[in-house]
Amino acid sequence: MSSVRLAGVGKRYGETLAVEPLDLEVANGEFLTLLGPSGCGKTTTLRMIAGFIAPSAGRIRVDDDDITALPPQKRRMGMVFQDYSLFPHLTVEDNIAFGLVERGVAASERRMRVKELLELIRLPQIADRYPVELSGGQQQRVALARAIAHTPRVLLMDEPFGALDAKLREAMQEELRTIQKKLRITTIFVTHDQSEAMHLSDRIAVMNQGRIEQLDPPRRLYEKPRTRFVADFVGKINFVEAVVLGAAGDTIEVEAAGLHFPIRAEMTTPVGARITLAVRPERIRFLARDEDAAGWVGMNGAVERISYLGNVMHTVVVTAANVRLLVESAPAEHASGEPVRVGFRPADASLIADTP
Amino acid sequence: MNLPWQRFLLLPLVLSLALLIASQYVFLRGSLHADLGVGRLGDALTLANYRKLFTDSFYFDSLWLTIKLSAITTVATLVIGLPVAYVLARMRSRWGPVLLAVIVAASFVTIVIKVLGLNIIFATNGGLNRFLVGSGLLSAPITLIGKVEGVAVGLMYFTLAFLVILLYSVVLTIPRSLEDAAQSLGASRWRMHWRVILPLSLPGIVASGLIAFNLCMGAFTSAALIGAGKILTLPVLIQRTVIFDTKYGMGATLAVVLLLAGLAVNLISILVVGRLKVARGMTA
Repeated sequence: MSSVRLAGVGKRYGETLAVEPLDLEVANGEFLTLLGPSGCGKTTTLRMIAGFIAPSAGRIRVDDDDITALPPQKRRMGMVFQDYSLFPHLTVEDNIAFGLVERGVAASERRMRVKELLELIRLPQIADRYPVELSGGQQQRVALARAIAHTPRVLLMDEPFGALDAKLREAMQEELRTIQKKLRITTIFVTHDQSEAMHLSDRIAVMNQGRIEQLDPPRRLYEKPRTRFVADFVGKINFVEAVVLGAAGDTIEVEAAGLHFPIRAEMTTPVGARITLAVRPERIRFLARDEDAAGWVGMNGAVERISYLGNVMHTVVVTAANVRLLVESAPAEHASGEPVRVGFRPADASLIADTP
Repeated sequence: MNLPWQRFLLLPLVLSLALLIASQYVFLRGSLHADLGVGRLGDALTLANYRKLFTDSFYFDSLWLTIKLSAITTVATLVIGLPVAYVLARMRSRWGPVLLAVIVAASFVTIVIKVLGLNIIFATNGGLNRFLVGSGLLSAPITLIGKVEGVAVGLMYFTLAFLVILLYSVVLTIPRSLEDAAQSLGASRWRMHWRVILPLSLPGIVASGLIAFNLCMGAFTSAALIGAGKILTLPVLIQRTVIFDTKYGMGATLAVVLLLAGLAVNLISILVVGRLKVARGMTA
C-alpha cells in the first residue's frame, strides 16, 4: 500500500476554477474522505488522482513516483464508481478478473483470486451470475472486489453508496470499513453525506468552491470547525454573533447573546472584532430557573417550536437577547411559549473568525 | 387500453399487409410460369425458371455477386462508420450535434446526386486523378464507371450515413463510466474497445449491418448508374429482364430469389447473434 501526495494540484476550465491548487497528503493505509456539496470540486479532485482528468497545475505522487502524466491504466489504482459500472456482458467472475487479465495473471491464479475476493465480500455463490441478476448491494460489493482484485496501490471511491437505501448503506459502510482495515489499503473516498464521512474516515477534507476548508479527523472537525461553512455542513450548529472584548493568552473574552464570558480559542483577533460563536445543539442544556452552575453560561428564554424525533427532541428557544437557539435534548415535556433557561459551557463552543 | 380509435388503426394495417402480400403473391405466381416470349406467360405451373436460375451461371453469378458485393460493402462501411459514430457519440463539444445533423442531411441527398458527385471526383481528367497520376502515385487514372469497385464505393456512399446514425445511437447506450472502469483496471484504450465497447455494441452493430446489407441488396440506382450495364447485380438484372427482355416470369423469379436470399442472410445473422447473446447472458 502506498501514500498519496498532491502538491499544488488544481483544475481550471477556461475561466472557471473547478479546483484551486491544493496540497493534500494521504498516509499509507489511511482512509481519507473528500466531503462537500455538489460542485465543490471533490469528484474533480478524485478524477485527477485517478487520471481521468488532467490537472491544470501541480504534481500528484504515489509514494515517490510522479504519476501526474500517467494515463489511468498505468496508475495501479482501483476505483469504485457511483453507478458501480460493472460490465453487463461479463459474469461476476469475469468482472472481478478484468484487471487481472490486463495484467497477464494466469487463468488458474485468476480463479483462485476471484474465489478469495468473493469470500471477502461474503458472496461466494455468485461467480457465474451476470450483473443484472444482482441486487444493488451485491453489485456494489462486486464493484469493490473488482477494484481491489489487482491489489492497487490506492483505492478510490466516488460516492459508492449514493444509490443504496439508508439501511443497506449503513451495512455497506460497516463492511467497507472492515475490509479496508483488514487490507490496510490507502483509500480516498468522495461523498456529500457528512454522517457517512464521519463513520468511515480517519481524516476528512471538507471542500467548498474548489478549496479544502478544513482537513481534520472527524471528531476535531465536528468539535472545532474552523469556518462557518464547515460548522454548518458537518452536523447541526447554532451561530451566535459575538464581539471580542479582550484577549489574554489563549483565552478570549467575548460578548455574545447579551452575556460576557471567557472562551479558550486558538486564534488571535483584535479587540472589538465581530466574530461568530458556534455551539452544537446537543451541547446546550435546559437548566433550572435561575441556575448558574460554575462553568456554564445560562440564558433565559421561551420555547418557540418543538419537534420530536424519537431518540431526541429538537427545541427552538428564543433567548431574552433575541437569539434563536436550537437545543437537542432527551425528549422532555416542554410546551410552546413556555419560559425556560438554557445554557452551555464555553469549552464546548468554538469561535469562528469570519463574521456572519 | 380499449380506446375506440385503436380500431381505426386496423384499416392501415390491413391495407399495408394486403399490399405487401399481394405484390409478393404476384411475383411468386409469375415466377411459376414459363416465358413464351414478348411478355406472354405459359399457363402451366412449372419450376423451370428456378431450375434455369440455379443452373445457368449467368443468373447464378449475378445472385452470388449481389450477396458478395452487399456483404463486403456492409463490412467496409461498418469499419468506416463505427469509429465515426463512436467519436460523434463521445464528443463533448457542441459541434457534435451539428456534425450529426450534417450527416442526417447528407443521407437525404438522393443517390443520383451522390453518384454524380462521385463521377466528378473520379473523372479521368478531374483534380483527384490528375494529382494521383501527376504525382506518380498511379500510372493510370482511377475510374469507377463499369467497375465492381466503383459500385461498391457507390453503395458505401449510399449506406454510410444511415450506418453512422444507427451506430451513434448504439454507442450512446454504453455508459462512459464503463470505459473509465476498464481503464482504471489497467486496460489501454485499444483493449478497452476490444473488451468492452465492441462486445457491448455487437448486437447493435449486427442490426445496423443488416439494415445496410438489405439496402445494398436492393440498391438499383447506384449499381445501374455506376455499373453502366457492366456490373449486373440482381436488381439491375431484374430491371433488364423485365424491361428489355420482357421475360416477366424470369424477372419475377429473380425478384423472389433476391427476397429469399436477403431474408435468409438476415435470419441466419439474427440467430447467430441471438445465440451469442444467450451465451453471454445478455438476455435482460
